[in-house]
Amino acid sequence: MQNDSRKTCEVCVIGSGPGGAITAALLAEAGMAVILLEEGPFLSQETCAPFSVQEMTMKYRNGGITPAFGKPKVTYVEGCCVGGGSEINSGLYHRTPPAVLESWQKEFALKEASVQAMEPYFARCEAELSVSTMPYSAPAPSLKLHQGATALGWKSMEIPRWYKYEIDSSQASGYLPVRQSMTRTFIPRFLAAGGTIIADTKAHRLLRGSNATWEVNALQKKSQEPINISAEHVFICAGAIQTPLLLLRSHLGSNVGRSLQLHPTIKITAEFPEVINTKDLGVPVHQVKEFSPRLSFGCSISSPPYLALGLLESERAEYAAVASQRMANYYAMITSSARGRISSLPGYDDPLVRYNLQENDFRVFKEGFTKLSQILFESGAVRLFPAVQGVAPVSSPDELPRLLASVVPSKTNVMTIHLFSACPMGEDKSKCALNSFGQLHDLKNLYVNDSSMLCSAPGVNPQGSVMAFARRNVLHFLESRRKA
Amino acid sequence: MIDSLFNATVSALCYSLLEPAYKGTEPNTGVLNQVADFALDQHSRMPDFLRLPFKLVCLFFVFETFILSGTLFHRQTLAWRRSRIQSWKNSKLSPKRDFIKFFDSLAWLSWYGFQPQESASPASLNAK
Ligand SMILES: Cc1cc2nc3c(=O)[nH]c(=O)nc-3n(C[C@H](O)[C@H](O)[C@H](O)COP(=O)(O)OP(=O)(O)OC[C@H]3O[C@@H](n4cnc5c(N)ncnc54)[C@H](O)[C@@H]3O)c2cc1C
Repeated sequence: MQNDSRKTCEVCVIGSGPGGAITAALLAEAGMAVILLEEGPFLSQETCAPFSVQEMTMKYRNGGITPAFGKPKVTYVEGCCVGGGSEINSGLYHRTPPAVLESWQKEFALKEASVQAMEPYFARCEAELSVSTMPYSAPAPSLKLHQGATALGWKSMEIPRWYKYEIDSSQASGYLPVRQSMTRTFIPRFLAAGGTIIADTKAHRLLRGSNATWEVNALQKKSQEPINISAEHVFICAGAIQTPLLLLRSHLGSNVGRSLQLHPTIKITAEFPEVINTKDLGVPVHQVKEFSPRLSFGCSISSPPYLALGLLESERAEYAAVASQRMANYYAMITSSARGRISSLPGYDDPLVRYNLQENDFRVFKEGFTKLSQILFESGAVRLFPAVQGVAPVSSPDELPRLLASVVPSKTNVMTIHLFSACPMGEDKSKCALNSFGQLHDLKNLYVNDSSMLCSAPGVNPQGSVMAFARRNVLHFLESRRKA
Repeated sequence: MIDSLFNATVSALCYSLLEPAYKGTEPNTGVLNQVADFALDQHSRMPDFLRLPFKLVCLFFVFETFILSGTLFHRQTLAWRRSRIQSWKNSKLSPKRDFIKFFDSLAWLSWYGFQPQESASPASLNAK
């Protein structure tokens, strides 16, 4: 690590999540001198148990307390550590659906983003992250979802993940699943290629330097020491909220921070008559895609702390102590066309995020509650606890009208873990912040290469899309330099 | 002075919110203290522009309790505290609801998160 407060490099990458880590690694491997700046700490995966309370305090932004203001508020969470969201996520992988790629090309004039053009980037990411299905049976709550949906004739499938499965006889399954997060994949590659990581350091502003360079003004979080990095090129990969915030603070770019999209999600905790949940449950892997992209269903983390949160709205959190082994959390995720806004507040570090769901979204939520309840009752659930304030548990499909009557903005708990699109890519300058390859329109040597570049909500788990587009943009950058 | 009042109120809130978890038994004060510390830490981690408004809502909560009962919230009986919490939970004003919801979520999340592994597992599998 370097100690002096002025540094010079060819490329400065800001943010080390999936977008930043792949960007930094590919650039360093191409022989460039790269500094990777990360606001959060550099922690290995083993530092804390996955999906634990400790993880929230160590690896989440603001300890996981990040609301988007609107009616209703939508709570969201983001990673804040080396590796970003990849260190805390479930690893569920999707390619961008063909219909979504098509709409991006049509509506945003995004070039070279057809299914064929994107194929090699997805394929390479899948190989490098070991994307695969489980070599053993999926967790019981996941199978419950699958069985219920299949019985109703709805399409449900196991979603592949970026996991390696090491043979380990001490595990009940015979395998030790190891998440291929950035600290296991692209960060070691970046370091091996000679890259420098500066962790615990936040970029606060970007300024134009002399000789067409960029100056990154950053602050070390613990010592509060300023660090200034002078770079020929800057890639901002600080995530869906912080990337537009940094640009807004630096007064750079247009169409920045005004088109945030997310996947609004509602939850139901289901109780079954038999044991379905164990301490080593792991990550559920099935998703119901019959109504996708409008509506998808899945099973989420179901440890006692998360079950208690699911039971909170029906004032039964204490029940998790008694029945956690018979319970699991499920979600319905919608694709909304609503667009939110990110604003920088004078005198404050954290941004104000505003997001208002559209009227139709609550109709889709009601459909989501209905269909998810149908699936769960079909798979044998005896009681459902919806995350809607004051709604008593639902014990049969006949009681659904009572639940649906309460699905209103002031009572429904809406959250998300998928955020994107606040700096969309494309040649249509009236709505895009970036060109088709991530460079800010009319700003030389300044790029965005993370989830904020996606033109709109992909309707599926987004990290696969983020990484494939990030790879494509870096290779395009390297090729342009080679030609020049 | 304001900080110690805030800390005492948050601790009392957490203890009261978690009452259904330890009702009729000797509460695990070690875990309860961890929960209160966690709630205070999380308050200091929340977005910077929300910290002061949250503190102000808390002071209003204390003030309202004082006007109604002549005593500070954390000096009240558990039953009285729970009825105040319930009335804020059901309030028409969203800052009141949000204030309670914030601590309710943190208290329950950490209550289960900080349990020693054995007691965190279900005490019984009998349906309620
Ligand atoms: C709990 C959870 C579960 C998820 N599950 C899945 C899943 O199963 N499948 C899937 O595809 N997706 C999942 N996601 C979403 C996925 O993790 C994100 O889409 C992905 O991480 C986005 O990558 P990114 O590079 O855009 O940003 P991020 O991962 O957010 O990384 C940005 C990084 O930049 C750093 N940073 C921010 N500002 C600054 C600054 N000013 N200076 C320096 N550094 C800065 C941050 O600390 C962070 O580390 C999940 C997300 C969460 C939170």
